[in-house]
Amino acid sequence: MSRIIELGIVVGGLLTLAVYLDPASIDPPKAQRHDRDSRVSERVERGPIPPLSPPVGLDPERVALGERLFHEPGLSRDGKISCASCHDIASGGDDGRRRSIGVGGAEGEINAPTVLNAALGFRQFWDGRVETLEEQVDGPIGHKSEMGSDWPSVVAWLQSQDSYRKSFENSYDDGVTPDNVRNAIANYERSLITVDSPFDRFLRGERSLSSSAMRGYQRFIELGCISCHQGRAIGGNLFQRFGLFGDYFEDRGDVTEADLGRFAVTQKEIDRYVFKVPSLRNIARTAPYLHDGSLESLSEVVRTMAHYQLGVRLPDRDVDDLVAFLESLTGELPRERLPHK
Amino acid sequence: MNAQPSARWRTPSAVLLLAAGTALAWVMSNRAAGHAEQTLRQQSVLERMWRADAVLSASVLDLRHGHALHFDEVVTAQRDFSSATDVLRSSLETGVWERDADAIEKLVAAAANKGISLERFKSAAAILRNSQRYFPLVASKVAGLLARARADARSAEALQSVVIASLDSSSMRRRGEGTRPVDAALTELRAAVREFRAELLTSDELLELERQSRLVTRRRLDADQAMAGVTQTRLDDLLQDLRCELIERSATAAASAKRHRGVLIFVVFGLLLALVSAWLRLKRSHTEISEANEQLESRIQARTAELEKASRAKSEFLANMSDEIRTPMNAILGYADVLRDGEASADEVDHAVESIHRNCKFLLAIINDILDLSKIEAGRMNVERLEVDPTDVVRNVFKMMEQNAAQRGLDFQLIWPAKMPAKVYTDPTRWTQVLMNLVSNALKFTESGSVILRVDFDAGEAGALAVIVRDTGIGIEESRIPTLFDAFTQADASTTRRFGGTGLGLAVSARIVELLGGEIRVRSELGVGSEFEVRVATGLTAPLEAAGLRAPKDGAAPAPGSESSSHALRQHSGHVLLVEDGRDNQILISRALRKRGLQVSIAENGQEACDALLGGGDSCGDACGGPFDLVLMDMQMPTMDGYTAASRVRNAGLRTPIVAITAHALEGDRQRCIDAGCDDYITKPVDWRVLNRMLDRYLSASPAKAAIS
Repeated sequence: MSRIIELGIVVGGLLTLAVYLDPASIDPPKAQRHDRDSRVSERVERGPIPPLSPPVGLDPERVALGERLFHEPGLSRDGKISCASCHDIASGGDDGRRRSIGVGGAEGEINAPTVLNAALGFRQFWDGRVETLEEQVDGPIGHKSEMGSDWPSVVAWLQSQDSYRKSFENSYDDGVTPDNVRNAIANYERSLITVDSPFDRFLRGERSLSSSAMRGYQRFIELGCISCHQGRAIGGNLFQRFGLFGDYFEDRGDVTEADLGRFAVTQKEIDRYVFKVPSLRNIARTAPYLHDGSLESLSEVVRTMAHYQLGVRLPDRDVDDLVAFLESLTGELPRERLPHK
Repeated sequence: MNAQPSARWRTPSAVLLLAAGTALAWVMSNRAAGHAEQTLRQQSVLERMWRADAVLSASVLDLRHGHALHFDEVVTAQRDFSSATDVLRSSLETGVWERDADAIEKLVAAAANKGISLERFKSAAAILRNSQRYFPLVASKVAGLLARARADARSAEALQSVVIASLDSSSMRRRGEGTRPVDAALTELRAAVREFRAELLTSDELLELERQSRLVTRRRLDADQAMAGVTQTRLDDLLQDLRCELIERSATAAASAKRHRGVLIFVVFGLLLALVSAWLRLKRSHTEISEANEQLESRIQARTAELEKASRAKSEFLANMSDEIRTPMNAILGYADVLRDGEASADEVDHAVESIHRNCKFLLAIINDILDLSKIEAGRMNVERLEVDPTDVVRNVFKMMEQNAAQRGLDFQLIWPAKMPAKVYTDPTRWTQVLMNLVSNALKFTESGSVILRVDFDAGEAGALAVIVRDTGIGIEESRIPTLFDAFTQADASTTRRFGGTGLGLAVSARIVELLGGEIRVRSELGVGSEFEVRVATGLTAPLEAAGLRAPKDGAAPAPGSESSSHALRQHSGHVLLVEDGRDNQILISRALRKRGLQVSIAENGQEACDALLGGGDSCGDACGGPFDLVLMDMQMPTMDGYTAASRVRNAGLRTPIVAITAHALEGDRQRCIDAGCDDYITKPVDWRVLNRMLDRYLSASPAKAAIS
């Protein structure tokens, strides 16, 4: 009997050793499993417009702190303007104005882009002068006609607020610092991904689009809109000259510095009138349109873009279909990230 | 002395040195490890850059050739690339790349250029894609036009060439050709159309075809140029060079860290060894100290025991002494009482006088021994170095003891060597004292048999003279021999009672021999006899022949004690002034002097003596009857002592011989007396033989009748 037990122990030990030496023996290659969902997701990921999925890996405390900061007028010079003043989360992530109103009623120089899905943009601002959301925070905070403040004031004010000081101490080792304010706000902005738009659900095979929107999507591809407006954000991942088939600025007149685009950043002639291609997500909610906020309706935008960027004059039916398609791009914030009131 | 401290500091120094070495090796090893770590970190940054660059290039190619439908992947790659560049740029600021700063700056600049090219490429690629999609529409319209016009084959082929030249995306094949193939195709088409139907040349469709053909070609060239800026910027070479350099450097740093660690281990091992050795040394010295302590303690115990023993011996000695002194005193006083009674017979008187005399002598011997010993122990006994005939010294001793031996019925012999030196340098008095002591001891402890006094002269280098006294007496126990010459011991306390003696004789003799530069040795067997050997260096440094070796002969020199042995007293004539304050001594000494035919005047003290000698003064009493032939002067007197008186007399120019009488038996008194002006001195109690010698020396002899002292 004892002999058998002994043998068992030896064999068990050898097996353990073998397993230890060769992990593959207990972890056989997984069989390739194909189900419908993964097939769909593989296809749509390879397509020109992948659907959006909720953000992952964010620190909830930092996001919450960033949300408070985002809605905090105390960050501005006069204590009246917050980020949310111009980027209303509940109404498309912008303010619906042609130009935003900053501290002391000052008017901005350019149309406020939406903050929704801004995290997907390869750069920030119309001219793409910064790469990260963190860097972007410096812009409005310090701009004289936006929040008109500076970091020492912002940090001092936050230090004076017990609840902010405690929150920062909970989330960051070094408490209230400019970097941590930037990081908290950027984290919040990264959480602002709109999901489950009708078009995304269509892409995932969960629903169908109206025949008009379907035709619009087809025209979107055929006309070549999709050459620039592609990717998850349907735009926001390259620069492009505005006015390839006509001089928009000459036609519009009254050229301002804000119209120069990348030229303001690089001072190179080749970059004149070059802008970041904006995302078309939620475009139905972000009027007025273009960097100058000069167009109020989607049909105007579609016609303008077709004229200057594609050199075509679209029939009304195409315009209607394209607008229908654009309207299907409106998503919603994940349910647990309800907009702050 | 120098080796001692260095030995003491060797181990601590070694420990300190090794500790310093350890610290150094540790620091070096850490530094090398730090280098290796830093190099690894640099490598990881470069790896990241390298990977981002590769992904970026691949994404760009995908995009250009239609394998990717959107720019998100390029953007992701672009982000990675740009963040790697940022890391590189910020690490450049922290000084991590001090050695490679130039290369890194070049790299960062190249990366920035690549970023610009990438943006151009993206814009151009988007437009190119539209143009390429739009161009076939334009071409098909022209094709329709040509078909409607029933164009010839040449035109159709030319159109085909235009389409192919415009849409061919194989940039590699036509690199550097620019728009030439398209231009050529368009020229051919235009020529063909003109030949076929010239009015078509101005048709919208053909003009649009020409425009779009040039446009799409230019856009393709734009995109390809930008793509080349992305994929062919020489980032690879720079990165590769740096990576190779870093790999080499990290290998070096790792090797160096390993080496330093080896040194560290070695030095730590050495440190351990040194510590262990220090510990052992400490332990050993601790042991040594405790051993030394034990030795010291045992020595202290031994010394204490010795001291106790000495103290006991002293007490014993004192007890002995008091007994020894009281016994003769008792006899003296007793017989003196017998004489005072006046009832004793003539025989009894003789016996009493004889007893008193004998006991007094014995008492004196005791006192002399004690004084000698105390002098020796106080280090105040000096020995003289006089030119002495050794034969005389030995013969005198023999002669002095001969009678004693005869009385005891012992065979007493003197044996000479073949040759004796005529003179040696030594102290005759002390020599005599030692020999007397040894011989009298031998006689005392020998009841029958013989006592042999044998002289040996070893004509060696120092010319050692040995006198051996051998007896057939009671002998000495072997265990007593080591303490035989110690003061205050006699071989056996009981022997004191049996044989008398102070027990100091041998101690005194041994000390004296030592002072004379010799040694005293003893061989003895209990019940058989003893042999004492005194060997002293004679101080004969000159050749012995020069010292006058000769065969000793009896009577070669007159014996100093011949008067006493002959009992002959010469009669003198003259006037002696006796200066003495003691009544008894005045009577005794003046009687002895008168017995030798001398006229004696007595002065009570130094003052009276001066008055008597120098005249003038009334205090001379019966001494005022000068002139005097000799002055015998006590040194210790009231009113004026002998030293003062002697020097005053000499100062007055009087040359009368003065012989001092002093009780000061200690060495140096003689010199003091001489210094005061005395010619000679005798000690109290006055030995009549010595007194007689003095009289012989300083007074002229007169034909005398013999008298018995």
